[in-house]
Order: sequence, then C-alpha cells, then structure tokens
Amino acid sequence: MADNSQTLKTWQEAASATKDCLPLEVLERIADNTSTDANAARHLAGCAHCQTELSLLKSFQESTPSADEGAAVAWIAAQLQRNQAGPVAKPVVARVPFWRAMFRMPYMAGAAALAVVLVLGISLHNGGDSGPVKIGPIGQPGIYRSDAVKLISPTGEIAQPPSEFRWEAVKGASSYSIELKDVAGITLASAKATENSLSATPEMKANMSSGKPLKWKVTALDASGKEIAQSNAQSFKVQSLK
Amino acid sequence: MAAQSTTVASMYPAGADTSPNCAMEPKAHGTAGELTLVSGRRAGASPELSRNEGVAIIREMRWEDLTDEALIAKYRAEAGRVSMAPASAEQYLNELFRRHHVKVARWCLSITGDRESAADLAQEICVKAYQNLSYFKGQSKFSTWLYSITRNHCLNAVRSRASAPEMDSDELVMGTLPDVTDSPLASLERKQQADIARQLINEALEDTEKTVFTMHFGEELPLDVITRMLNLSNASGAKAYLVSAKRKLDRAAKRWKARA
Repeated sequence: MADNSQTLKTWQEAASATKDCLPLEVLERIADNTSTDANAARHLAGCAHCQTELSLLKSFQESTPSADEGAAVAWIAAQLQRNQAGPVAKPVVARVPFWRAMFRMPYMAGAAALAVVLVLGISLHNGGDSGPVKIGPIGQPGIYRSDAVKLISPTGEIAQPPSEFRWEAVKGASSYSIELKDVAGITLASAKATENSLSATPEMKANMSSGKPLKWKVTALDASGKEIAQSNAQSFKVQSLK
Repeated sequence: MAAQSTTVASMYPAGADTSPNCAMEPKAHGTAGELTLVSGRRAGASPELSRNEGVAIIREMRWEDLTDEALIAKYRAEAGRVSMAPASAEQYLNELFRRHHVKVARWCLSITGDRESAADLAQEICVKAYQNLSYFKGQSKFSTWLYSITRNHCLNAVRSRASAPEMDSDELVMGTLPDVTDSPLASLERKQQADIARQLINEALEDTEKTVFTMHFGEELPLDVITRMLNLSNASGAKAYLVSAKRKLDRAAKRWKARA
C-alpha cells in the first residue's frame, strides 16, 4: 500500500528548487538571449523548476495587461498614483494646509483659541484618567490597537529553522503567549515568555520541517494574565532541503 | 505605519513628463537623442565668442534616455550629498517606480484576484523595494530585482492568507499520484526518488503542465491563483492541467519501473 504522504513529499521535493537551480540573474541573461553559459542551458533543459521560474520572470518583464484585466490594472495603477503626492510630484506652487490658512483670518484665530479653552475646561472638569482609546465592543475590555504586538522574526522564506522568535515589547505586558500554527490555523506548539523573545522549544523545532508553511502569533498579557494586545499571524517557511 | 506612508508618498511621480534634472541639462525643445551645441561658457554668446572659447557637445536628455540602473546611480549620487534625500534625488526614484508599477500591479492582481487587495499588495511591494534599494548591487537588471521582491512577497501573502489547505486539489492528486517510493524504487534514498520524479516531470509533461505542477507542488500555490497567473482560459483552469499531468506521470512511472 502506497504511503500517500510520503509520495506527496517526494513529488513536492521533485517540484521544488535544488541547490543546482539557476539564480535569477542567470535566468535573466537566458531570457534576454545574452547567456553563453552552456552549463546553465543544460541545467535549464532538464529542470522543470527553472523552466517555470524563467517563464514567470518573462511574464513579469513583458507584462502587458490583457483585455479583461486592463481596467483593474489601470485602477490599481491609479491607486498607486494617488499615493504619489510626494514633494516632487506636487505642483511647485506652495500650498498652505487648510488649518494654517484658517489662522490667517483674525476672527478664525480668535474662535480657535476660544474652542481650545472650552475643550480644556471640559477635560479638566471631567477629570479622570481615561487612558488611550480602546478598540473593541462597548462594555468589554478592548485591545489597544496602538499596542498591537509587532512581530520581528522569523518572517518569509528562511534557510534554516529559526532558533528564536522575536517581537517588539509591549508596554504593560508581564508575559507573552507564543503560538506556532499551520496554515489551517491549527496550533502545533505554544509557549510562554516573559521577555520579547523566545528560544524555539523542542516542540516547536519538531514542527518546523522544511518546505512547510507556518504561522506564528504573539499575545501580550498583563500581570493578571489578561490579554492586552495581540499580533497578526505572521507566516514563514523553512526552505526545502536542497 | 506613518513612517512608511511618508516614504511611499514621496516615492511616486505624477509629473512623469518632466525631464531629469541631471548634470547634462535637458533642453525644453528637441527630441530625445538630438545633439545640441551649447557654449562652454554661457548660453547666448556671440558666434565669434563661441569659436574662440571652445564648444561642448551636450546631448538632449529625457527620462527615456536613462536606464533604470542609471536612474538609481543618479539617485544615489544626488542623495549622497546630503543626509536626507532631497526632491531633486527623489525624482529619479519616482521615475524608476513609475516605469514598473504596472508590472507589479498586474502580478498582484493575478495573485489576489481582486483589485483592492492587489493595490494593497502592490503598495507593500513598492515600499519594500524602496526600503531595500541600498541592497540592489546591479548584479541583475532592476526589473529582475523587483521581480524577486514581488514574487517572494506575493507567495508569502498567498501562504499567509490561505485559511485552509486546498483539500480537493490535493486529494485529487494525492490519491492517484504515481508512487515512486514503491518497489523497485523503495530501496532508493528519498533524494534519489526525488531525482527520478524530477526527471519524469521534465520528460513526460508539456510546458504548461510542468509549470502548473511546479507552482502547485513546489510553490504550494492554490489552483485558482495558478489559473490567473498563467491566464488559463479553459473551463477548469489549472486543475485540468494537473489531472492531465498526473495521468502522464502515472504512465511514465510505470514505464520507468518496467525498465528498472
């Protein structure tokens, strides 16, 4: 009886890059017909992975939107263009922000000063330290969005299984809960840390096999063990054995 | 992040038709590549003066005269003069990214399938490329370097956004994939089995089947993404190529076993 998972692994390995696979700059020269490397040509002829890479590279380089995607690509390009209002792109005419222009008018400056006094007065009257604005359902303890845990590493494709997980410290956190998950969201391993880093536990190491996409996330807890912030799930993958 | 937004905001051009503010000052008239005679001392000098003072030949410069790599070199030279990149330096980057954002946009659209997510992804890629520009050493063309960022960022995004493995497609192929671990190959090391499987893929499959198979099993891309990336117009898209590939590999594996 065939072992399906073993069979699948073998075919996955066969479809993945090997240590002999060609780097992009070599594929670029082949794509441009400027390569004279006979070894590279020989490898390419026998490697489906490199043939696929070459085809994708060409497709990127020669990228012309097809008729049915043209409108969407134009929309995305317009979105990018909209984000391009940098100093170079802006007209030379100096623009004054609307709020500064307001203060050029004497009566507006007076009104603004009055508004500031009123707001300050109301704040002092109400007293109380309301703390930062919370995002969350009314009546329930919220998670401070500004305190969301920012994950540092591992991320993306990495050559070796990570020996350590690192994230940015969260103010007020006494401990952190770290979870390693598969892409389906199933927790494979978890651990606790009191600092903003964790050495990979044996359980984590056992679950970080080559070529397997994984996710990890961190939840920050206060001294009472209550959740005060959490990260998004960050994905990473240990590159397949080459 | 605010810092990123600021950076990205200053990255892009609107006035793509402005000429590069380079040492060889562009002229307002004339076509690209046109040679212009300009006095070595000052414009508007008398013909006699020009004859006596030596004449410099200056080529009209337009954006299209500058390669991507030349734009980067000019950006670095300009930005290196002061601690913060001035607008005069950023214009080169603006032009550089303007040239390539359609490529990035199209790639992202094929990955995500919807324009809103694609726009977000494209923005992230441009930010990443900008932040890592110092690592570009010119060993490849800029567009190839940008491709590697685009490709890796998109593949990571697909993997992280996949809520669950694509069971139907994997089961479809898993249940019937030829078993190269079976006798007489069972005695071989896993690496040797993979080498044989690699050879079978290369020899038995057509180009599109190879590409679909590699993208699905090697890069773990879902079939709908592959269908869009390869612009496959047949009814069942990449799935049809995968089924066909499996059938051919099955036959090829049997032939191989018979020979062995």
